[in-house]
Amino acid sequence: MPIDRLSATFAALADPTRRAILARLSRGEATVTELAQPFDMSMPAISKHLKVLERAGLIERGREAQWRPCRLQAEPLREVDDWMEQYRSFWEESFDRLDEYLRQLQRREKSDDHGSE
Amino acid sequence: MTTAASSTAHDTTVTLAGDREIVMSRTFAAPRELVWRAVTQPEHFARWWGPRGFTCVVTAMDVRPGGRWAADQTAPDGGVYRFWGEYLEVAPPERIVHTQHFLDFPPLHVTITLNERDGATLLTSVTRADSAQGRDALLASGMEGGARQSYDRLAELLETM
Repeated sequence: MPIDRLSATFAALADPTRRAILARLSRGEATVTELAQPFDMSMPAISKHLKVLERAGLIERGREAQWRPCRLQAEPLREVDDWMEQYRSFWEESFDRLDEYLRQLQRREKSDDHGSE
Repeated sequence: MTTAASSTAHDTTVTLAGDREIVMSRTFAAPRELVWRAVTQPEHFARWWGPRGFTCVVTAMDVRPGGRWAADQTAPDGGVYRFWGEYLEVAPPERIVHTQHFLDFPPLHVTITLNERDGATLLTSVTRADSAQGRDALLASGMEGGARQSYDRLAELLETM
């Protein structure tokens, strides 16, 4: 599990503006101006959010100097998904072990009872 | 959205609920008092908490409101992963609420309830994000229309975090 990258993804997703930007990009690529429109925010502020998303690998930006459309990148999102899956299996496996352990404890208690009789 | 996904692996029921929670439940063939001990006493807890092949060492387990817990999970490859948190509510033998930190992932808020029925115990754990991180449903609300499938799945996940 690439921990650092996953943390970067979580950190990037932790901000509502950035999530709204990602939601907008899920409907197709957009320019910085278009992305800035729904927000009461300066262009530099939006650019800062885009840099965080870009560093986390959640978006990709076109090479052209003036027209740099942003596109959503799905891979880090899949890693978040994988992490959730791991969290789930962590608990499922723990519950299996707890089930076995409780049976073992009860067998032990039962045999202790017989021993003291 | 009420229920995003539901699955049963072995006997554990897992539900991703619309209010950003992941709910897992499992019935154990043991009285509630015993399950409570297994969940709250370090010598018992270390015997089952974590995936198979991992070794758990509990370094703190002060089960009272404001008390801390910490446990190291050692992976089969020798990697050590530390989990820690704080108890928020402790109501023996039926309910315990604690936070769970792991690396710098969003901290989780975990509520475990135990209900006894006919000598068996239903354990339900509800996990959600403890902070504002991942909490806003903005992502989901912007997800209508031609969202990519992976993105839909993320929205579901964010709701559970």
